[in-house]
Amino acid sequence: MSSNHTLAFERRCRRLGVFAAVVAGSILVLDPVMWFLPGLAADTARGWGGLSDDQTITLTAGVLWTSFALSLLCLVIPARGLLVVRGLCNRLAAGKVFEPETGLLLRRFGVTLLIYACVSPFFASAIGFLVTVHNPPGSRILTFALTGEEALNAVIGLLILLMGSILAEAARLAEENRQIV
Amino acid sequence: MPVVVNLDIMLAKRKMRSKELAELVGITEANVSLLKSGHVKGVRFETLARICAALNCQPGDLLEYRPDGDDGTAAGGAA
Repeated sequence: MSSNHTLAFERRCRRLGVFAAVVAGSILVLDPVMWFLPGLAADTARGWGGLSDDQTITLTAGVLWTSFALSLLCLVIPARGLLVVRGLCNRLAAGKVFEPETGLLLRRFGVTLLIYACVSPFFASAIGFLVTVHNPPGSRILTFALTGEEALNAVIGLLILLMGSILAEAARLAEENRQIV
Repeated sequence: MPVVVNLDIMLAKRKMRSKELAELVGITEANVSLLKSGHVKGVRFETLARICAALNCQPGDLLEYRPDGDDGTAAGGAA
């Protein structure tokens, strides 16, 4: 690999790492904006809860803050995953491609994606219930939905976890082989 | 580990330096040092054969098995 190619690769990795960190930060900053900017809270609540536009919701202060807290807690998971991606990009930029720790970081990202796919429907259900709990009896809603998006996230998370495990094991074997003269 | 590498003894007997052995065997001087100190996980038969040819000795002259493993210069074993 020429030094020009290496430098270009290093630059690309560092930029990708920065991009991942910016997206992680944006997710966590935009969430409160969506909940507390006037006029957006109702749409945000319906979006999170999987409710239609004509569905009545009751956003008291307590419901608003609790729903926001739940959504933020849910979003911490993918944000954490993106920070793992940043760490991965920094390792790649430093030339630490074929090392066990790189595989472990990839595994960690896969696990994060898998966890997010598994828990996000529960957060959505909780928020959907919260924003309708103060509705008149008969119009409270408790839903649980598993969409193709969650299934896809779970599959991709599993694949990345598997790839990370393979990379970590391959790097471990390579390291072991290096110690055989 | 109970397998001890006596490469330093053989090098002294044959009055050969590590660098010379490394060149004859086709491995790096660093690997020869690791081999002498026993800090390797294993030795390929091909490498062992080349070392024996270079030092005009038998594998038994280079490798020794001590069950209690009380010597610090121990290696992982032949690969």
